[in-house]
Amino acid sequence: MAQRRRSRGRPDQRRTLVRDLALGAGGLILVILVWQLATSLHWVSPRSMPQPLDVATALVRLLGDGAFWAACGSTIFSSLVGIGICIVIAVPLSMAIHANEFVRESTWFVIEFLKPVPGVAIIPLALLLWGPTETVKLFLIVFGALWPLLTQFNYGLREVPGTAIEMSRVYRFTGAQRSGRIVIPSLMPFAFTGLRITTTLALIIAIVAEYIIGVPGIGALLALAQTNGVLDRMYAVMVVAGLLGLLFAWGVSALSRPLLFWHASERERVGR
Amino acid sequence: MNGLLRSLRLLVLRAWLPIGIVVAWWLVSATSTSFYFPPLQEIFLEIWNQWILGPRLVSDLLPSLADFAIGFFTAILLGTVIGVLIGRSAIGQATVAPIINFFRALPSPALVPIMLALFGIGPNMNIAVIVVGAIWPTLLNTVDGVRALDTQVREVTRSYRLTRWQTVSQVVLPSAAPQIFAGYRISLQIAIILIVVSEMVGATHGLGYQVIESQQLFRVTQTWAGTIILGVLGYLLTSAFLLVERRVLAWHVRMRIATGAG
Repeated sequence: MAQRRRSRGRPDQRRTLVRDLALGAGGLILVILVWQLATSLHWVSPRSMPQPLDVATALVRLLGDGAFWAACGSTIFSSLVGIGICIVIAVPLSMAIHANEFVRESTWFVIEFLKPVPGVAIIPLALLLWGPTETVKLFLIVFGALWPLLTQFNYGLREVPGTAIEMSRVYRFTGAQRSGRIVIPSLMPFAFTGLRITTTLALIIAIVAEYIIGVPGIGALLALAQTNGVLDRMYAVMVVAGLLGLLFAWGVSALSRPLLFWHASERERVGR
Repeated sequence: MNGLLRSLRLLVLRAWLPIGIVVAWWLVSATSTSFYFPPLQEIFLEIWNQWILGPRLVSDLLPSLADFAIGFFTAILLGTVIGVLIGRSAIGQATVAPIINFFRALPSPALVPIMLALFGIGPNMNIAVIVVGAIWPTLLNTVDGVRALDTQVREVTRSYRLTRWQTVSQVVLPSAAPQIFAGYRISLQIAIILIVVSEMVGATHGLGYQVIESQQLFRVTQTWAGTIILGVLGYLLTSAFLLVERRVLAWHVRMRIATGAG
């Protein structure tokens, strides 16, 4: 394996990529085959699990449905706006918190307490107080997804390597040099970890809010298919939810790749 | 003496704001006649009489916690074991990568309707949702942590001809532990979300069920009480987890301090 990594010629790399793609496709086909077997041999009741082909058909039918695209758009839009609001709140807030010990220690418990509060827990209360509106959905997303981003920024600012900062003093770095060469690079991995969690949570809360409150979106489609007992459609919507999740995760990693190329995790990915 | 003074000062610094918020809420809401914002005192009495000393402790709170614990521990145990197996093998990893990535990216509550169809309403469904939904962050982080083993370290274990078990238990797991625990932390977060959501839509008792039912019946004080309990539980569970994590990863922290990185 060590030899293979060292001989990093293009054809070799391409061969590894083709092999990985083939293996991945094989894995997927295997899972679908097992699923087909499980349903056609009645290991599971057809009333709880439809056949893969039916789900594929339902998926194709969804793609031709205007209401489906509106629901997708609604979920994507409110998640993105929610993430945007989280970033706009988290960046200045974490800097303000870190600027001064009094603020840092005073807010410590409040943030530590709010961070693990499950955002979905306040859905009933929010529904009771403000009713089923788009604004409530957005509020729920921000309330539930903000804390990981904020705490990751806080961790990142705290974990700036001490020796590097001391070295920067020895070399008499200016404030801007210190930020650009030490603080921001060491903050970046934390920021992206936070962004990744926040993105995941935003989508989760958007879908749960739609599912429970009934505001338009993928979650509402899921609830509708469930109440009508249309299993293949329900599974198809779940697949779409997964694809949306992949799209969001891909978006974050597409952002992180040019910014984190020097980090060990990315180096490994390229060097493999 | 100086140290005592310093920790006392820290305690005051950290405590004044949260205590201030609760006191302000208590005072402002004390004379509240609003249907939606009952006095905090009433909410506390509801929590005390119903959930801590009352019948809901045994009928709802403890069963919720038990289902949560079974689901969460099954998820992280399975996730770690499968993750190490996959992370050690390039072929295995490539084969399952699309499937893991799909389920890791899937907003896990989307599994709730399917688990309802498979398991029906009840604790089995709540547990199954947690296992199937919360396993992926642990699995993925374990795979990544095992893979992110420093290339030089990996070559050293090869030169020392460590056996597979020695490599895994002495080198791979310790070096991946911080990342594995980060995975546990996300799994925990998802498990908490999932027990709440799954009980809201697929249970006949439990904390999540009580909160959503009180909302549908417009029992405002009960909704407030349930929401506060959920929040406090989320905090307590995460704190307990962090305590364990700090103990297990103590060597890692010491190493960071020793090398001047901390």
